[in-house]
Amino acid sequence: MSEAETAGTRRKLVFRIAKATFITAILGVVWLILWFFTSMFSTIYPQYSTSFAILAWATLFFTFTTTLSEGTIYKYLFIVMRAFFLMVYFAYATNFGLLSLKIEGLNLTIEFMPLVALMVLANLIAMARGLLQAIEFAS
Amino acid sequence: MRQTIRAFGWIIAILWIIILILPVTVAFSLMKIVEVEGVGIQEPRGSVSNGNLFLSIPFYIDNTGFYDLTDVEVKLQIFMRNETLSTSSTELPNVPAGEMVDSSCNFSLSLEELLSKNMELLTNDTELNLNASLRFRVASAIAFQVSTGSTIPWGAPFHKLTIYNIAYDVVNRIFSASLSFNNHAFFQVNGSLLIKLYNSAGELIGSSTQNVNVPSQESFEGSIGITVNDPSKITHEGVLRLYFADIQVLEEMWRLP
Repeated sequence: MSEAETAGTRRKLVFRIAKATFITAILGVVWLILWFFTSMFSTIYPQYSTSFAILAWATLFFTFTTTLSEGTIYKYLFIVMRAFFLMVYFAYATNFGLLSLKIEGLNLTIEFMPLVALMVLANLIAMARGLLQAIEFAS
Repeated sequence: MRQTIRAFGWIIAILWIIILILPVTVAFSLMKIVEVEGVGIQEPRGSVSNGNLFLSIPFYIDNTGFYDLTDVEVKLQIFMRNETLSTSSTELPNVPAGEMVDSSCNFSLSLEELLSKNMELLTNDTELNLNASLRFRVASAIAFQVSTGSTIPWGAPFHKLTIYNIAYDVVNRIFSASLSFNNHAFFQVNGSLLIKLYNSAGELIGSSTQNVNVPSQESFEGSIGITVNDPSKITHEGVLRLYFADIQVLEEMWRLP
């Protein structure tokens, strides 16, 4: 590989990293705004801040990696991984759709299994879609 | 393959729209009901008959939200020191969106069941824990259950149940004693009291029934007379057992003076 080609590849990589960082930063700001509006939930649901942080950092990580691996098959691998992570995360973080809260002496239990089922279904379809995109990319 | 990928993309988008919109609209719908004070409870009415406690709580629900309220259920649980004494639940009619429903929660609690689980309740005043919960489903997808706990005072129907002045009439073969108690319960003690007399060998040597009708917060004092069929079996001491509505209220040693 010539020096000019190496320099071009390095420039492309730097551009990709810069683009991925920029997009991730924008998403980070969105998550931050969302946190400002919803942080009060942590007073009635103490696990909320942990769950929120895990979701935010995971989506930031996957946004960075999928943007960085744009134009390669790895992008689809990360898309499938993201869908799988979200599927497990939503099932685990929502206790499979059963949340119990304590509000001023009242115990509130919310059951939303059908919604969790829809979340799992959406992520399963996203995994299938990612696999099909990877096959199409490779062919 | 491209068409499939595109179709999958649309399906995912539609699913996420539903997932995001449904909880938001459900929360908004419930807030609308709360804002107009769409749920109200009127004064409860209680009565006791045939050994059952009946409780009726009239209420109304004005469903000003967007979704039907279904599977509405109210549950009452009475327990004492973590032991469940009684559970009673009542299912209420569905409340379609935009409609108002007037109804009442009716509970029936068997006093026999309640008292048989904890004998202390018959003779000792105490505090019972009450757990009330309301459960309903909105849009047939999201179920809510609100529960709260409180304590209620329990007055014993046979408080300070005492047997005294024990005597035995050899001529007439009658075992006699005096009986007293205070009815601290919120209901009237009405029925027959069965008294069984056992000798020191544990043999049943006589029994008698005594009708009692003691209003709430009043005292009872009376005497009992038990005819001993076989005088040879009478001993100087033994055991007396008192039953009310087939529940053993008291077991006490007796001794002739």
